[in-house]
Amino acid sequence: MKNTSSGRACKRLWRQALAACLLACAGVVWGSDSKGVSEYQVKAVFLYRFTQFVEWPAEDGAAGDRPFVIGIAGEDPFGPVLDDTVRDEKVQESRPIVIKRLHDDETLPKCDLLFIAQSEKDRLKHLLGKVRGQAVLTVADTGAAAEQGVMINLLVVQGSVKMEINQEALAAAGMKVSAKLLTLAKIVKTKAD
Amino acid sequence: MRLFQNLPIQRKILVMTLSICGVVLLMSLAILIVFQILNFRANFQRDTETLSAIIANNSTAALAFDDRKTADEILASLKAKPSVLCACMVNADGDTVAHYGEMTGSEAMINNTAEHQFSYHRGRLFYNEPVQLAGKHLGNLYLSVDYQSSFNHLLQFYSLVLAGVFLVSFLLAAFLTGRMQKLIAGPVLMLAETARQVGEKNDYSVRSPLADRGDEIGALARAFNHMLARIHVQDAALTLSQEKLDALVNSIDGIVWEWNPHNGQFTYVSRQSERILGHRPEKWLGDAKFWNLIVHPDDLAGSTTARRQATERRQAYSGEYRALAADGRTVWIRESGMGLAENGDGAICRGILQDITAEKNAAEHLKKLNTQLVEASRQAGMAEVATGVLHNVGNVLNSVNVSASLLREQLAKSQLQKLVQAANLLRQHDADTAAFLTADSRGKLLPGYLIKLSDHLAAEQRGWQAELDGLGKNIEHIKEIVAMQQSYARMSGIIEDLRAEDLVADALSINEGGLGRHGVRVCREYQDVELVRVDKHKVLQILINLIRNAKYAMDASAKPQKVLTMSIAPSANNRVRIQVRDNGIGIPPSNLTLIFQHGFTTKKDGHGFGLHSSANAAHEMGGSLTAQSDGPGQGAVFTLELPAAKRVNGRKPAEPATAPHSNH
Repeated sequence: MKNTSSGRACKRLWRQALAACLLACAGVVWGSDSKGVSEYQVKAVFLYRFTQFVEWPAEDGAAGDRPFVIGIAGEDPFGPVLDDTVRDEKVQESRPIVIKRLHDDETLPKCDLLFIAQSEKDRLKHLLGKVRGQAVLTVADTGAAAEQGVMINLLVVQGSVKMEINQEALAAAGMKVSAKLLTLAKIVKTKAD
Repeated sequence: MRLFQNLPIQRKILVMTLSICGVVLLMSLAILIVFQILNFRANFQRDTETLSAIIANNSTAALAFDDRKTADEILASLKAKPSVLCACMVNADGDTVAHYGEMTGSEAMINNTAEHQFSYHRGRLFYNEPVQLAGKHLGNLYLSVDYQSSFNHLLQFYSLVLAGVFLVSFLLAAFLTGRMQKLIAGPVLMLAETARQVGEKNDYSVRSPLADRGDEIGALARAFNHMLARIHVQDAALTLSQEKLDALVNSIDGIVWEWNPHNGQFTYVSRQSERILGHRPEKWLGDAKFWNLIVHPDDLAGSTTARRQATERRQAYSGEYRALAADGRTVWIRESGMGLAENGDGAICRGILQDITAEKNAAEHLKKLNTQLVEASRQAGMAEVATGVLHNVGNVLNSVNVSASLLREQLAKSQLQKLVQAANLLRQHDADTAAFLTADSRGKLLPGYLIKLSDHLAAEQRGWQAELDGLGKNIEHIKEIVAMQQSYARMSGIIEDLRAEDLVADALSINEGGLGRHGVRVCREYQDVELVRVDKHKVLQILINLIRNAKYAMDASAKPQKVLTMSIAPSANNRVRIQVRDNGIGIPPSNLTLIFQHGFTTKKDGHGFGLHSSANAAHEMGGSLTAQSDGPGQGAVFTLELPAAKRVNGRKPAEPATAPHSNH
């Protein structure tokens, strides 16, 4: 009896020790390149997370299993990271996520979420104009993009990714953002130029 | 329990009320506290769960976007709840995103607590809340809450509540009991006061004023009053009865007493003690030795033993002894008592002491008197017999006298003188006898004369001879009479087996003269009976007395025919009955019993002890003497019953060898 219980305890201890070791190793490996490589990895996760904290306006028909389109305007900074991140993930429980690299400005409004890459810094106004009035969540990672009318702008501050949210832009598109997200973000307003 | 019994009712009520209150309160509070503790635990867990859920929900965004600062801020808001000791938010990768409070000693618990699970360790509650977003696991929120101090606070609170409730309810109970005491104990005390009055003053006319109440106290008071009324009546009756009894006991000419055999002490002595012995009853009651001191030392042992034995055997007893009176007199006491069972096993002796000094003296006197009387009676009997004897002798002497006179006359007239003359004639002619006889004229006649004379003298001698024979017989008779009297005188006091018939015959023969003189006819009705075992002298005395009485009774009556019937018959109880019946003046019924009393007589010159001593004599021999008469003028029957001689093997005892016979 005593032998069995002490044996069990021994096994458990051993297993725990092993698990701790593996975890530590993984952390070391992941932590080593998270700073550099994982900026867009983090941003990719952020993009996916936004689908969970933002409410799109209700459509006429049921969204059903119509794919949720994430469009990337400009030079894709994510590479395969974004595809990996959203693979097998669903928006609104049933909508598969499709990532489209857009090169034609006319297809912009067909997206649900538009990531405007840093390469399109100068065409920001133009691109925003294309999707104005559409239920498209615009995300950029260019400094002061939010002031220019991008709904959510991602910035790296002190090594971590921070958000700026332009609520006016969101409201104008008929979209609502969760208060929880707002607590994390810096609220900015569109600056008239 | 004994302590409780002795408490005043108000205290009892207080104690009871407080006990009941206490038990009820304790029970309800115990249930409440158990419920509250269980509830507290559940509530505490639910609160923790809710808090965790809120924090976790608020943290989803922070975790989702890995915003550690915000996560820290969110956890810092737990400061508002001091019971939360520490909190820790871990992301899906196991990295601690944020923490709050002192983590020391909590990691192990955090790591070991499964999602949605509580665990307790050293007064701390650990909870693991998973943080999820749209069904996806984002991380975990761990909370460590101080359960112990909250629980202690709760306990303290309830202890205070308990103490407070107890204190308040006890005070309330004490206050209410104080009020109630007036309602319940008050009347009881009033009743007790009434009872005390009754007890102290022996005044049964007191009544409890509570009787008009409608409750149990009222019922008790009514019952109490009823009891008092009954006691009042019974007390009066008892007092009366006691007085009567005292009067009765103390009026009895004797000392009534009660004696306890266990301590040998008198427990009751009536007032007569003072009158009879001059000793106050208190002296007896106070001192167990007192009785021993006043009883004559020679009588003490016997009387004590008698009383003790009678008490042990529950028997009646009686004894006499001498006791010393207070004034130094010796008093003869007769103690009669009876041992009685009392209260189951116990025994007690009750009885009476009577002063029999006078009785003793009288008995002594009587004894003397009796001796004298017996002597007198005996002498009288002897005289009676002697009278009879003399009478008979007298009768015979008459005949003797007559015979003597006759002889004297005959002798005087005798022809003997003529023979003397003839002889003288012959003497004158002594010389010439032959011549004379042949020549003388007178001489020639002489031989013829002598022949005639001798014939005559011979005839005369025959007459005298006959007369003398008669005389001799008479004298012999006298001799017999005298001898018989002598035989009775001699035989007195000897018990013999005798024929009843002979005794009757002797008695009759002694009275023969008297009976004959008065012209009494004697009838004899004799049946064949057993011999009687008697003192001959006594029987004869009785019978002579009875016959004389009968003769007297018949003399006194004017009846021409005087019949005395003597009958002998067997009687019951192995006795022989001799009856003397006369047809004389009879006996009035009022005198039938008196006649046997000493000194009673109807005879002018009687001494009155004839029948009395006869009855005594009959009794002494084991017989009896009774009288019966149909009244004045109807005659009387005296019945003498005498014991028959014992049969030997069913046969009559041998006939007595000699029986006195009277020849007449």
